[in-house]
Amino acid sequence: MARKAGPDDDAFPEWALNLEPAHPDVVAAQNRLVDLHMAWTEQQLAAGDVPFEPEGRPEGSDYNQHYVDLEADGEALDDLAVASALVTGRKPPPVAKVKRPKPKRGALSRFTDRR
Amino acid sequence: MIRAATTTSVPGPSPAAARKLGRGQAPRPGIDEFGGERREVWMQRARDAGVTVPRGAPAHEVARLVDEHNIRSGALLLAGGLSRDPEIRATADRAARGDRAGAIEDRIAIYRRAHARRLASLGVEAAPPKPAKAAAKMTRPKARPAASRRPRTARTGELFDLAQGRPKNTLVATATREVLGDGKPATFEARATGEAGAVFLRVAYADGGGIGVMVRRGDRPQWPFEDVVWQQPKQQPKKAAPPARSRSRARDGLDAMADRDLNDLAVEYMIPPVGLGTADRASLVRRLREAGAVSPQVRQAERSRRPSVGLRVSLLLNKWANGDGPDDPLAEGFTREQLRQTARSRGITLRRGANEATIRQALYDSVVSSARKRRAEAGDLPDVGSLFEVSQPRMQAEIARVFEGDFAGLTTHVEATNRQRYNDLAGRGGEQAIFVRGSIRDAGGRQVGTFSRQIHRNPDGTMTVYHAFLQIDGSTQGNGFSNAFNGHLIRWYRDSGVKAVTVHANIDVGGYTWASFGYNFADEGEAVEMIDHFRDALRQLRGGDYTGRRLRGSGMNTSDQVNALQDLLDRTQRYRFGQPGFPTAYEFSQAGRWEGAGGRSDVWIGKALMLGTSWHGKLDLTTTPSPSGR
Repeated sequence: MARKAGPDDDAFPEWALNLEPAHPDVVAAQNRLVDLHMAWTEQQLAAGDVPFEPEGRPEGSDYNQHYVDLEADGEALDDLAVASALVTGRKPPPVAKVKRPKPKRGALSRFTDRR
Repeated sequence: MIRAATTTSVPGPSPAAARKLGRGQAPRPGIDEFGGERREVWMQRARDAGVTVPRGAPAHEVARLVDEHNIRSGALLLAGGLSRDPEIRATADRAARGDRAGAIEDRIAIYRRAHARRLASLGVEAAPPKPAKAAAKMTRPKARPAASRRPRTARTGELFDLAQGRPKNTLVATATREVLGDGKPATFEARATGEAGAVFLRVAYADGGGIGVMVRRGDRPQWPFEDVVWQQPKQQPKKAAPPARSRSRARDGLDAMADRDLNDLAVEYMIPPVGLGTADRASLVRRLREAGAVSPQVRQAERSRRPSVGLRVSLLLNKWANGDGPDDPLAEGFTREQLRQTARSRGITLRRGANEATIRQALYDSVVSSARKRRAEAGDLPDVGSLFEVSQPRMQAEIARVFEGDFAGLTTHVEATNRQRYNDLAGRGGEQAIFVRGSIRDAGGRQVGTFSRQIHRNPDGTMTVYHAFLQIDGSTQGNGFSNAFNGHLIRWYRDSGVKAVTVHANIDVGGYTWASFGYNFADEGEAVEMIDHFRDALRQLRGGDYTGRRLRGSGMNTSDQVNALQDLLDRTQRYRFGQPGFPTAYEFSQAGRWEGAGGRSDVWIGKALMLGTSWHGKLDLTTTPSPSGR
């Protein structure tokens, strides 16, 4: 049986209460970005080539929870930047270097059209 | 029987031969030509293969030397099971048993018998076969080819493997057939078709003309490939740039494409090429245009603005794992090679020659074990709101079901729960909150972290969650855990109609990375604080007294950083907070990032300014307007 939470847990922060939601389009884009970022992180972790170098971080650092964002190489961040622009309805930044083959068409539009 | 060629660049006769032929002398069978090819052609092949040919050797002898060289070098080793000749199949079996040298000698013996029969049919007296040792010496290449260029034998299946992943139009195989099914001598070559997952065969008849045939894996080609010779793909000579006028005529670039490229493109779009169902170039271009085809150049330009295949596959898989999207979201839009590469990037081991369906299945399997389980559990999970209605023990049990589990190799355990009503607290009448605190343990049961989550419900039923705390020991790689755990909870919140999740980004790198995750500024006050922070930096950069985190990286340019900051801040003036157009926290974090910037060595202004900052973030989960109507 779980015990009761301690006194440090008994105050929901005031600032987090009654926040106004953003415009529905902004909310939809934000949620697509969340999904995208989770997929991207999963992909980076699966690739297994993101450096993990926690040395020198301050005590209690959250580096080990977020190191993919910090250590991902330029190509991966380009990828995220282009995809995030597309899923959030913004114009993609120019990315000149494309090394990987891409599908003919349709895959992304299926995704972006659904939400 | 097949004669192997190591190149398709078949030259014409030498000037001397042309003069000779031009004098009206008919080519003598076996002497001036053999197998439908002139002696000069065979001589060129001998030179290409590095075969020494005695001066004045007749065409049949040159052909024999070339063929035997190819057999000895392995180029004509047999593709077992494909040949219709039982003797050849037997030699293939012998090679398969490991007796490669014996198989080669068998094959040469078979070849010589066939060669002699052909000479007899031509009425040509064959030169006495040279002793094997002398022949071997004679056929030794002048210069041993580099290993990477050494000819090998390809089976039909290999052609597809070779073609996959190659740039379109890459030559993957060439061969010369004495006689095709229709009785005409021809050469043929296999080319990668790029994304069609097929091999495009271009057959050129010796007497002129030709056809293109597309063969997909699993289809039976029109003839077996039993002795296809191929070399490592050669660099295709650069084609002359099409005239600027025709390039600009159509945005799809089809008008400017060469006929051969158009035919290859037709294969990708399953349109019969010219000569194989489509009458002429104009009609082919029209059909391609109708199918939405664009030239490789145009396609490349379009691709430059698309995220990677791997990322798109991950997105689709995640959506599928969440019960969203079609049953088989990868069934269309990705080539086999793209799926294969994605599988590799996800650490999936595939057997050689795995077909597209198998690869897709492997990709699904890679997410299904955890995601489907979680999905099934999620379907069974309680609604967040119901936790406020049930008894305390039931609430604790339900919370354990939601919060406890295996996430990327770490397990969570609920250590404490508390449900409070705020009736007795000033200004909070009717509000309720549930507090959850837990531990994170590794596979050995050792505690490596803690987490704290708080769920708040207003009297009107709207719920907000505060991700109060999540800490993992510094030596533990917890990115996978936080991604999986938070993702699981966010899916649960969404399903339960929770209005928003909030977070306080204030630990080391979180000020930068929570923005990437998708959190936005909790309210306008938070945004204004960040705007002021960025405005100060802009002023400092312009004044040359910037004192923040050093901007660095090979692509860093201070004026670009200034411009990016200015653009971002301009948008904060043009748009209202919370409305489309107002920069998101992610856009703040990426301000000034240049193409290719990444890793810890590159620092752009957005990253520099948000690392180490403290701000309150919010992730709106529903688009339902608040009672105030905003």
